[in-house]
Amino acid sequence: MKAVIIGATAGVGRALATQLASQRAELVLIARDARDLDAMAADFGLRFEATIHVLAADVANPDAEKLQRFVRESLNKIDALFVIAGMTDPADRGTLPDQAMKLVASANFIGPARAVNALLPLCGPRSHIVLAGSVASIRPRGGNTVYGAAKTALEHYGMAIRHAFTDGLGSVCCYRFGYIRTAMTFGQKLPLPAATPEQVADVIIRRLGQSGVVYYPAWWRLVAICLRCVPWFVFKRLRF
Amino acid sequence: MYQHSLAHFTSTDGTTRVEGRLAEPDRYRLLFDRQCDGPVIARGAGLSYVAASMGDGVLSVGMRHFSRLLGFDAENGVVEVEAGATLADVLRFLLPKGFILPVMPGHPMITVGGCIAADVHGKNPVRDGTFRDHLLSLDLWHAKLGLRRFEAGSTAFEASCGGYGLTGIIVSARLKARRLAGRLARMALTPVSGFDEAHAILRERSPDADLVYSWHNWKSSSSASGFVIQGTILPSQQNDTLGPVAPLTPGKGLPLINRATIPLFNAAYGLKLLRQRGQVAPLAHLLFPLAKMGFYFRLYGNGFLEHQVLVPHDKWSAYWPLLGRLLQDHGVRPVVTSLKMFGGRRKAMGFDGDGVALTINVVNEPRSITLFEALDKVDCDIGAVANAVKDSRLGAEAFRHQTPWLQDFLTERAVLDPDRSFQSALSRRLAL
Repeated sequence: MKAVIIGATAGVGRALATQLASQRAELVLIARDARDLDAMAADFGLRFEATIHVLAADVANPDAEKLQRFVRESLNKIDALFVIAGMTDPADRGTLPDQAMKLVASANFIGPARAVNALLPLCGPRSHIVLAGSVASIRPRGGNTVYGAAKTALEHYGMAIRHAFTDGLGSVCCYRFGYIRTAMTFGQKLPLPAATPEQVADVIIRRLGQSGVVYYPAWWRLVAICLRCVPWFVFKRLRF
Repeated sequence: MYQHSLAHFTSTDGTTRVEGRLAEPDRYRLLFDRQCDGPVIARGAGLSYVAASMGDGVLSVGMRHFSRLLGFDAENGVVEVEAGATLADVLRFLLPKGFILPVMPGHPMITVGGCIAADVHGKNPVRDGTFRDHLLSLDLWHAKLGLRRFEAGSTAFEASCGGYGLTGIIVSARLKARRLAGRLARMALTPVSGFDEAHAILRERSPDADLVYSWHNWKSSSSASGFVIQGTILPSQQNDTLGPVAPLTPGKGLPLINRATIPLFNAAYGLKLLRQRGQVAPLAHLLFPLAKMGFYFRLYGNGFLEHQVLVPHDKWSAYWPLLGRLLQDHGVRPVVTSLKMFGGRRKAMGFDGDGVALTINVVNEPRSITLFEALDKVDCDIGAVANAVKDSRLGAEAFRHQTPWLQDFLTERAVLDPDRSFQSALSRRLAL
């Protein structure tokens, strides 16, 4: 398999890269952190004898042309594209400064969407695209105004791509991930159980080829139904 | 500043509990992006018996995400690895290639950074030295000095090996691995009537043995029969690997090891050794006897205390009867008693030198503490040196008395960490 992972150095992206490398997939790993990328490439090359290409790039503001050229020269074609990058800002409660708002929107929607757009020409009828969405898309709330909006936009974009390339792509899947134990959630008291990045990566790989919007863990679908049923006069009083 | 959370830590021996903070950066950008906001200490697997990677109010920087192999030179057997990699991580890579790390402590989940910070020893320090003897360089990070590489022999390298993590965060290291003739070992058992006989046999065999140590069962203050256990690596092509490892889970448990059961426990262990006599087993089983017994330390109930002390050879015959008398006077019966030979040179705070290393484990109870306090005086009088990273109650006074080269470390630490931003419960107890 030839796969591209955007946001490969941490959390789910790193776990995905590790599992795919252990299966000897040929990978292009993309993230901001050049030193971590080099360490991962060395590690996967030594432990799994996997072929790894790395590109240090700011996912919030990718150089689309450079990205496409690098992946084309490294892999020629893409079997699977995983867009895992994302970020939150604890101050994202409706009053984010302009630059911070731009960053959250760019890292969670504009950058990932531009990366997908740049790499679509390298995808074929058997290629799979996996996007990391969030349960923040279930219902707009004040606890993550820009993040929730950006993830919802990414999901919308992914499903639109699925529709646009009905016969041109193998699958497009956007996961609505619940809580995951990553640097993003480290130290936080989470109201519901969190999955590990390894569990999430395992599910993504096992279900590769599935299309549509998918909840993981699956019980979040039930939470979503309940959350949507909460009347507005109650919901507006919830602080989360 | 690191993203962190409040954390309650317990030392592996179960005797020390602290309330600190824990951060687990997962990228170099986050590891290196720290403003000084209080004491910090690196944390590997957290398996040191003592509270070396934690402290009240101290921010423990977990290194578990920095566990990658960075390079391997098969011709020279040099492996470069991040400090959060466990021995298991390294061995799973090295063993199939016919290499091994020459010095390994007793559990495979211990990290490379921890091995360096404690300058651990293996199963035959006379032949193999300590961990630093197979370390070519280390990369050390400090908020003020940045990331720096120190080659073996430099003063900063010497201070960081066995420096309890007080010179900075060890980020990565280059290690010299050793070629292995095979991955199986035969265990030979030689019954001994007591410590003097074991001492003589161990001295004779240590220069050439792959693994050699003794185990003893105290039956009275003057009787400690046991076995000299010697492992010999056999030439073989068998592709044996490390196998599954159960993580150690320190903490409170049912006190199944207690005064009433210790004789039974020791008798059973002696029988187990006898059953294994002459057996050929994977080398990893001999190196890591606790690898599949993650629950072991919980059997002590309220924890245990270990005293590991290096006694000059010429003082050994006088030392162990004094210990036997103290055990009798205090009514303490050791759970584990073992001897191992050392033949190196002591550096800074490391546990090394020329002599016989005695290890005794006892149940954590008030009488054990008074016993060890009395033993501290014997150690100081006789010129023995206790291992500070094994003994959770060793005080600053005894430590300083037994560590004449301490000033070398303090001088170098003043250069590397002038503000003493790296602290732990261990360093505070030892007044470092």
